[in-house]
Amino acid sequence: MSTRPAEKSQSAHGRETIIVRNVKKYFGPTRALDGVNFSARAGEIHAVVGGNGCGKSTMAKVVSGILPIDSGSVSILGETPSTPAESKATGISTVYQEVLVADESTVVDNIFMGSDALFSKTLSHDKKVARAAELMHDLAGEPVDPFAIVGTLPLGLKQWITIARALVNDPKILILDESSAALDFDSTERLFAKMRSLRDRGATILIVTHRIAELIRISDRATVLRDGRDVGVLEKQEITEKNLLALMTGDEDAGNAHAHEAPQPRDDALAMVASAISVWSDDDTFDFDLRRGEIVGIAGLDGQGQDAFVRAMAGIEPVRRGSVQVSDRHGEFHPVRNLSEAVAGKIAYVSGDRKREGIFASLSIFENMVMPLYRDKKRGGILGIIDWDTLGTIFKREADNLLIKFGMRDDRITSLSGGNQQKVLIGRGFAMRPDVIVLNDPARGIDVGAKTELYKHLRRFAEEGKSVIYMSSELEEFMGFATRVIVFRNGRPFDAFDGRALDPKKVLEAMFGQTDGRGLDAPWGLKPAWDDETVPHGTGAAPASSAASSDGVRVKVEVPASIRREMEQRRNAPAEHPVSAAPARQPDDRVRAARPHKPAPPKSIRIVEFDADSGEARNIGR
Amino acid sequence: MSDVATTEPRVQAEPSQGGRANPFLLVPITLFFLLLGLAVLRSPSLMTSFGIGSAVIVATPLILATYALMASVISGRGTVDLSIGPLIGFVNVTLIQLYGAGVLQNPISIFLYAIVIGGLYQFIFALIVIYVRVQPIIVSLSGYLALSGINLVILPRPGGVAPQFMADWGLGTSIFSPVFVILVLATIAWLLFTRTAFYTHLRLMGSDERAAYTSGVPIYVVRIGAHVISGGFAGLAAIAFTALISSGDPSQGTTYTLIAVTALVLGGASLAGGRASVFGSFLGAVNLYLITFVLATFNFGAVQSFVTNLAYGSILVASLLLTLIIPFIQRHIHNFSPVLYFVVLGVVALGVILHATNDYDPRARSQPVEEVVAVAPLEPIAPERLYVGPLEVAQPTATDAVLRAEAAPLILSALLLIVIAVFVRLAVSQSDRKTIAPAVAVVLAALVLFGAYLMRGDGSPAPAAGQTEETR
Repeated sequence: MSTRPAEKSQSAHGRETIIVRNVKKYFGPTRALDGVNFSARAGEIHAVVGGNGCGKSTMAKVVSGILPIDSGSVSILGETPSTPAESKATGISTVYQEVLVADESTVVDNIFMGSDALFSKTLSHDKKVARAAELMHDLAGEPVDPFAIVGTLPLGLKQWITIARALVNDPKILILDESSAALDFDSTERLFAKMRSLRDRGATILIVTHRIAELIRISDRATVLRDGRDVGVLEKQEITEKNLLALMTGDEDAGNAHAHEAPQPRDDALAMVASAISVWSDDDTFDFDLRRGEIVGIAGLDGQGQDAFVRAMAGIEPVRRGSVQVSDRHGEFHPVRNLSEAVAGKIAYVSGDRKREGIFASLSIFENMVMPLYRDKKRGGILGIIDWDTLGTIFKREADNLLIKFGMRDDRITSLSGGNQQKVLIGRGFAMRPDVIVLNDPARGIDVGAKTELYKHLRRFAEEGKSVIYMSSELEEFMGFATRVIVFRNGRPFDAFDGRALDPKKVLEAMFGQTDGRGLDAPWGLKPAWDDETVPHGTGAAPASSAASSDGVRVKVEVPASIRREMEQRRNAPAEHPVSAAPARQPDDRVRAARPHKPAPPKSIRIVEFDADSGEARNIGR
Repeated sequence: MSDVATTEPRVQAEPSQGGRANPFLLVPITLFFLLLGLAVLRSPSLMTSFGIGSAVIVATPLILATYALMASVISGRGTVDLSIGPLIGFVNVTLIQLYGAGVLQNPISIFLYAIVIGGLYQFIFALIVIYVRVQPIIVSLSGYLALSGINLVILPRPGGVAPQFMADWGLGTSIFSPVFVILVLATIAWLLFTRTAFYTHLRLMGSDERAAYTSGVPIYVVRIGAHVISGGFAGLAAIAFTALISSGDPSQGTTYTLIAVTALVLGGASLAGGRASVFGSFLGAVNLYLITFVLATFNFGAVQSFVTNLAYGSILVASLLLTLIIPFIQRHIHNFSPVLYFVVLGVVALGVILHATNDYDPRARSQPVEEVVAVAPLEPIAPERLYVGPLEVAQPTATDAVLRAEAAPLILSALLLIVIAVFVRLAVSQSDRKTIAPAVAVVLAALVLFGAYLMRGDGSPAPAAGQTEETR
């Protein structure tokens, strides 16, 4: 720490108000903070930055005194507060990520929450009302009725109330944990102005954010965290996107690439097609194709729409617009609008949020795994007797495959560790024999060994020609595992990367919106084209004859102009002869038109073998 | 009245800062005056010194039990204290037994005993909720079962005598009985409590415990305090209950649990915490009493209690359905004033009362009312008299003409009262003050008390009403 240049000029600026030394904080097996060092001075705006799960929010909570630490030392203005009341007395105000307001109370009471002693008021009520009205007018830029019941106000004003609560007693240290999330641009400007005036009065302001553009404008110094450790401190003039990202990604990480090769699909057969869907706003639509035998990684900062996307693909929540379709084993496409259609389409969903959408805490390990199969494996017709023997076999198979460690299979699932619980849930997904498995951050809180097993299993699964959608908040997971990675930002795909040449640094830059998003149209983008490289030339003359010869019988649909352009972009245009009737339904057009790329399994294998010989051979052969 | 009807929308349309008030009182106030009017029409004897006196005696334990529930329900976490009824019973039976054993003889010691026992029970309750982290509803259910059993062990069957000084409390011969004083003092105590910082902490905690904790509110202390206050009210409720039955009863108190919860919800409290008002709880409990009273005037025979329960249930559901429109009211009408609403409806109800007591049955006015003190069920009424009777148009006689002459200033002053109230309302809503409701409520309550005091003299409410307007 003493070696950093930042420390040298310390006396010039002001005394250190926050000193965090070698702090460790574990949540079960997860290391949220792993020996972090950090310091901030009076009269500066200090940013704490990092990717997802790097421990920045934990750090804010530790400094504000609501999380006890496991080891190390925290000194704030010479004290170590351990409850919010103590930290308030020390002069620390924190605005938390969640909007914490009492809905049934008035704006005044909410703003002055916690500033009174137990029985005596610090200010008379009239003074409080005047101060609250003034403060809210300053912050929100419009008059706010101080007597309004908070529950009736919009979210933006509620956020301002939490900020006003932190500002109302002139804090010496102000901690803002992603506090501008619910604010629009103008509001953010007003917040920044307030922060600057506080700083000029000698307060320390700590902002925790992942909005890089904002923090570059406002902060005087920045500490970058990665994996629960501090990896560098940047002075004002050093705070640039490039420096921040370099520290956040950590170039040395690129070395330990996984030995494995990401599975590649054998052909262009599509497993799922999402056309013109949107998950946030109605007009921001995009397409997405999932091929058989590939693993698609979904990444993004927390709450950028990737979660809604994978849930829509799994049929948990409907898409706001557009349609999601899944192919059955005969190449027919069926819509996925709800969970039962998803199950019928053989899509399995595994959630990383075990407590809320995973385990049945009061049931046994066995029941937790085979529960969805009760209906499939029933006997006795209408009586629906559950076939326990078959289920026992399935349980044994999946438990062995995933190396689940358990005592008795009838023990309650809560007797297992978090990682093993997750394995049971993944086993439940596999036990349904799905064609597509959607995993929503399944590796959250499970150990390295279990992760390795999981990857191996999923890779084998993909090699059987099944498809995997894998959302993760840890980029390292995609290395040597995902066929392609799609990064979400602001509710839609922002960029895409080829899994064979995956650079976590680039992915992280994309997560922060610092790339050009060109990857979306690339062969590994939203609508992948497998034989992009294998057909490098000669396609100009080929398409008509090739498509006609291979699929002439089944091409019954005229390709709409917009689709045709896309096809040509991929230099693999299908036949354009309308063999028979015009399309009946609009959403299906694209699917049917795309069918030349995904012939039925036997045929596709033939073509793949053909391709494997050489690129030209394919054209000649056709 | 038309005057008011045109004035009020204009008041509400003003986009001003002052004069916010609790729209959740809308339903209980409406229900209160509906039931009051009905009760007076059905049994004019309610509006006598004796009628009101006995009503106070009967309703006070329920009102105090509702206050006790209110204190703990505000603290959040769904703290609906089901054990309130058995707790009242417990204090009742132990009090009777201890008095019988010659321990508690002094009125002061009896009051202290009841309040301390109630507070102690709730203190233990709070400690379990906080440190063992059991859900409050489970703790209260266990308390309900345990106390119900313990009560029967202490006093196997109803019996015993109440302390001597309490003996004549339960007669209800006058409005100003000691029980009434307890009720008034308890209400004032709560109103004073709402002005403290502690009460603000309590409401904030009940509304969002995490927000309160992270803002530095000492939530454990606040929760314990809420429970202890609740226990104190439970002790007072037990005293009032003891005065009502003048003996010990191990099982009667248990029935208070359900009706107190009903009254609380009827009064607009949120069982999720953070919102409850003393005025609402009071009205909720009084409404339940009035339901019982009105139903008692019909003779349902053996199924009386079932009909009463049916009425409780259906009125509760109906009022909760009405509560659904409250968000709508909050959005469109920023300045709903329960006080103004109360005054307007109060004047209407006063008219109904005057009509019922003076015109409807002249005999009730001319003769002393001793024989109709009891709230005994009346004879079954012939349907045509029941439905047509109140609508009958009588020919004015000489006495009626005199009455009319007497009533003219009354009506004028009632209108004046409304006009004044509307103007006060306008003034408040234009000012920056939040509300003057507490002040108005205190003035109104004082007037009502004064009226009741005058009424004690001659049994006629007319001077009371007149007095109300003059003072105003």
